Parts: sequence; C-alpha cells; structure tokens
Amino acid sequence: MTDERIWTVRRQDGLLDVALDNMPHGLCMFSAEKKLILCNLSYAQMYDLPVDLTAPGTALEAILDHRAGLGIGPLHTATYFDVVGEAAQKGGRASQNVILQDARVVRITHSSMKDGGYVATHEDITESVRNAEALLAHKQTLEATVTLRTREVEEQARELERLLLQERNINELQRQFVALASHEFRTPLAIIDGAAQRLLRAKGEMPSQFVREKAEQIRSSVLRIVDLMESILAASRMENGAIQIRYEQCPLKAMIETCCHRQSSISKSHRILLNIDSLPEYMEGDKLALEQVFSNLLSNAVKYAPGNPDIHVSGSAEGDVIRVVVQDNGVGIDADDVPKIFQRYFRARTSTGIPGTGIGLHLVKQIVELHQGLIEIESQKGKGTSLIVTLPIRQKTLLQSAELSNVA
Amino acid sequence: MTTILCIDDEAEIRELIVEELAEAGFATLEASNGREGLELLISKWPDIVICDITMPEMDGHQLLAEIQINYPELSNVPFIFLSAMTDKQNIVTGLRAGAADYLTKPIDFEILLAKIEGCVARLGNDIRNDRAF
Repeated sequence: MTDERIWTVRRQDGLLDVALDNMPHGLCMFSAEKKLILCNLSYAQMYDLPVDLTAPGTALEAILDHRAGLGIGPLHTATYFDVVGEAAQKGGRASQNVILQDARVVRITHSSMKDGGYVATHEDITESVRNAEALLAHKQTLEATVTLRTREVEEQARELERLLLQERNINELQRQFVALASHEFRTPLAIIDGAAQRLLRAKGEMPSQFVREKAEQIRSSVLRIVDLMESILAASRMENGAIQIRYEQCPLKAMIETCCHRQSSISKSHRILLNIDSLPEYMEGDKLALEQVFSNLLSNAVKYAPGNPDIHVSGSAEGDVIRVVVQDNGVGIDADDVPKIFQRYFRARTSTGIPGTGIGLHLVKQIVELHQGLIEIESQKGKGTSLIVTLPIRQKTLLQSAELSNVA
Repeated sequence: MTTILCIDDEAEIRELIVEELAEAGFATLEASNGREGLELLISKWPDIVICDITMPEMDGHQLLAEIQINYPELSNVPFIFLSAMTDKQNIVTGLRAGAADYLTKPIDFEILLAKIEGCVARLGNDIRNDRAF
C-alpha cells in the first residue's frame, strides 16, 4: 500500500476521517522510514500536537522531540522503542504500558505492517492504572491492618490467658491458705481443749503443779492464736493498704534481744546465737511492725531447721543503714522456689510437713518495704537459709515532717 | 498391756494425749515425726498407732504409705490419723491408704478413747480367732 493510495482513500471517503477522529484512543500509522502516514484527533490531542506535526510525512523523531519539549514524552525512551522492536520482530502485535514524563500511563499497541511500517493505538489508561494502584494500596493497608489487629488480638488473648492462669494460681494458693490457716488455728485450739479436758476429767484432788501446767499451756496457746490472728489481719490490712505505720524511736537492740528470748523460751531445742553488738541502740520505725519482722524471721529459722539447733542472728551498721541477718542450717529452699518465696500464700516445696500459712514472709517483706528497707534471701536446699534485712536508721518521711515543722 | 504409739510434732499435744492414755491404763510410746515413728513401729511393734499428718521429715501420709509398701507385716497395726487438717482431700487420702480412722483436732478425749477401745476389742477378736485355728 503506497502513501498516495491511502491518502486517496482518505480524501475520497470523509467517513473514514470521521470514524478515526471519533475513536477514544489515539491512532497513528508510520511508514518503515518512521514517517507519519496518518493519525487521528485523539492522538494529536493526547500529545498536544500542532497541526503541522500531524501532517503526513512528519518524522516520528519530530513528534517525539515536540513531546519531550512539552514534558509529555515517554519516561523511558528505551522501553518505548522495545515495544516497536518487539512488534517488528514478531511481525504482529505487541502491547506495552508506557509511562509518560507527566506520569500519565499510555497503553500502546503496535501492529507491524508487511512493508515495515506500523499502526499503533495509544490508550490513556492513567485512571484505571491509578484506580488499580489505589485498590492495591488499599488492599495492602487493609492487609496490614488485619495483620496488626490479629497480632493485637493474639497478644490480648495471651495476656488474658496469663492473667487467668495467675488468677487460678492465686485461687489455688488461697484455697491452700484457708486449709493451712484452719490447721494453724486448730493446733493451739487442740492444746487448749486437751488441757481443759485433762482438768475436767482429772479424778480426785489435782496437784497444784498439774493445774498450773495446764493453765500455762492454755495461756501460751491463746497467745499463739492471737499472734496468728494478728499476722493474718496485718497481712490483709497490708493488702488493702489500710495499715498504719507509725514511726517512732525503736530500741532496735533491745527489740531483737526480746524477740530472741521469746523464741528461745518457746523452742528449747534450738540455740539462738546473737551477735548484734555493732547495731545502734535506736532506729526509727514502727516498733510493733518491726517486732513482727524479727519474730517472724526467728520463728521461721527454728521451724524450717528441725534437728539443726544453731540459729545465727547478726547485726551491723553501715552508714545510714542497719543490716540484720538471720541464718539457719535447715531444710533450705529449691533454687526455683527462691524468687517466689515472698509471694502471699506461697510455700516452698521443702516446707512439706512443716506447718505454716505462707503469709509470714510476705508480711515481713511488706513491712520492710514500708520502712524503705530491703529484704533478701540466700538459700540452698538442704543447707539452710539466710534472710538479710536492710533498713535505714532514719525514715525520710520522719525527716520531712521534721523539716516541715521547722519551717512552720 | 496394750501399747499405743503417739506420733505428733507438737510436743504439748503429744504429752496431753499420752497423759490421757496412760491414765486410761495404756502403755505409750512417743515420736515427733514419721521417721521416728517408723523406727519405733519396727523396734517396739505397738498395738495401735495414733498419728498426726503435718510433720517435718516424714508426714503421716508418707509414714502410712511406707508401712503399706515396705513393712506389710506392720500394716495390720490399726493406724488412726489425728490431724488438724480437716479438708476432705486429706481425710479421703488417709482412709483410702488404709487408716482405721481419721479424727480431727481439737479432739474429745472420750471419743479418742472410745475409738481406741474399739480397736482393742477387734484386736482381741482377731487374737481369739487366731487361736481357734
């Protein structure tokens, strides 16, 4: 088909021009020499071609130069010509999406002609590409959101599970506590009841020594119940934050000595070896609460060291703090039980068979911490346990209130 | 004379029970934990055992299990638990393991004596039956 023939057809039949110019896509036809044979209105509009550049015989290069000048040429010229090359090689049709410098996307379909020329349609697909891109972006965001939410939900589920387990453990510990506390109350009650029954069932005249002994048993058991009640109440008040710590000058040394004597008189099978000479006479703190700390540590040392009579109590002062160590050579604690030892109701495995409620050390820790102090434990299963209490000699709050009153 | 072994880590409880038993005419043995109790069971062969549960070294459940597994010849000795543990689990465990009874603290001495006399009566029957064959 020669150039003249085509132009003859075009001129002869105005209808073809109308059809071509009303195509939504751009259409162009180039000769083997890359000279324009014809193009339609959409093609000219798409690339903003002046009339002279739509004239037959215009070089492809001139059109491309014009487009480059307007900033609407193909972004990658190489890609653009790949389409042409590919189509030529195949001797058929090839399509490619070409990005323009102004970011428009044009789908170009080349059809090679036998004489080496080609026909190409240019379809502006920017909108559908943008839509697809937006859709993809939206999908990705959605997926990311779903992934994130899923992870959040999973995390929440895990947290919930952990809390549930913790709750279950606390419930189990509480159940054990109730059983153990009941046991702890019943034991002194059994002594009181037994002593009373012995008094009631005695036949004939009772020697005064017998009566005195039973009365003493009753009284010491009542004390034991009162102590137990106090520590349970203190622990629960502590838990509710309702405990009142009243700071005063405590006779530290005398306090520890009294606790040791009391413990010695209860447990004759143990020896308490006291070395507290370097402790100061006084410290600031709540006397009753601190007494509870020391008597608790001492009774624990005795309780968890059956058959190991020596309990060492030593004290030292370093700068503003005092340190008291209560050391026994008893059953000790398994290494993995050590971190849990101050938990409320927790009882170490080595405590099997030794009565207790699991609140003592918990209470001790709370009291020590309320005094801005520190309690540490060193223990080895089968070797024994040391509890180390570090307490400030002066309480900050007391100093503060003293300063405040000076200001006033 | 019927001999009763009393095992309890609380010395005061043990003394009160032993006093009561002695006054009722029984011979008594005392141990402060399961291990000491087992030694006395083996060496003195008492007629009846009254045993606490919560004790250091070897508790009551462990002692009863030890007897059943390693000392079957001692398993005919009536074994009465006397514990301040009053929960169902301890009672069921104790009775299922072969305890003759499970009594809880505080204990009424009349009831304790009645249980012991009941055991003694059954032991007497067994002895008579043994002689009959």
